[in-house]
Amino acid sequence: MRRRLRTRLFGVPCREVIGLLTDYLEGALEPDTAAALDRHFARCGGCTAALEQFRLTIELSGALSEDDVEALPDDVRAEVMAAFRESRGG
Amino acid sequence: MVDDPPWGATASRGERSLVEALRAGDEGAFADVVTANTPWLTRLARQYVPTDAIAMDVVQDTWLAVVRGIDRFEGRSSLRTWIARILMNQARSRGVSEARTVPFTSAAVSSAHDDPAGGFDDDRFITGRRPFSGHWSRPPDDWSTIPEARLASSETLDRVREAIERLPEQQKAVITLRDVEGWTAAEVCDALGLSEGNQRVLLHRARGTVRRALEDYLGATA
Repeated sequence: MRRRLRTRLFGVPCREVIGLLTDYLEGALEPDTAAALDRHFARCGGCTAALEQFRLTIELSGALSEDDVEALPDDVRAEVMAAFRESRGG
Repeated sequence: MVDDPPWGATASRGERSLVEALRAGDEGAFADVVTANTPWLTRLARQYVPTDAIAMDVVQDTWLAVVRGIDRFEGRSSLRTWIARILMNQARSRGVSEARTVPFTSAAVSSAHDDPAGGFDDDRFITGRRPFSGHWSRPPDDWSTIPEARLASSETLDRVREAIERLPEQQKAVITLRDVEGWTAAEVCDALGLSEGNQRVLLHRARGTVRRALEDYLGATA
């Protein structure tokens, strides 16, 4: 069956939608394509769940920025500041 | 007049006066820059070298290189993308000699899921020439039913952190700067020398792999 006809009859295949998820979230899709995805999400629980999984993945990655990292040790900071001072002719 | 690179996020006016202050030897300004940027530099460095101690060395070397290079900074990129490029160079040369040992199975898993279908295996989709080819044969789970306490637990975050650490270098850098640190696409393209399209492809693959690691973990402990 021709691809365009198949798409009209059976919708954009989910596998293709998944491939476009990041473009969709970035706002990088042509308006027509974004609208086609919106229509797809409205009637496809699977792809809606996949989009939500992507969103949660992104959110959890963001939570890693709260990882405690130690500040520069005093001696390292002192060395860096000294190098700065010297380089500025101070 | 500074020529803007086609993809870059150039230094703002506020940043340009900050750089002026640094060039003039303003120690307070430099101390502030170090304090503000060391956290993300440390997190990024940790992705590339085997120990926290080495990551700290990389961060130190990065700051020393920043000091040496401040006169050459032209404001064609934001200050932090410039600093990120310096760090990546430092981390890369360390990483070559002191690479993290990635277990073979992890590497295999990482490449097996390095595909555009969001980290979903082929058998999740209907195949062949049938009418619903490409649609779900086994749809993804609804994660909105998972209690938030479990989703945001330290164990879950450990899985996310590990999944990111196992990614190929470019994917790791993109997802770390975009999703962990919250940088804009323009800044990440600038820091890593990527076109917008390439950056999106890398980001999509990285997110798919991390999503898959989460799915495997959440499913296994259901």
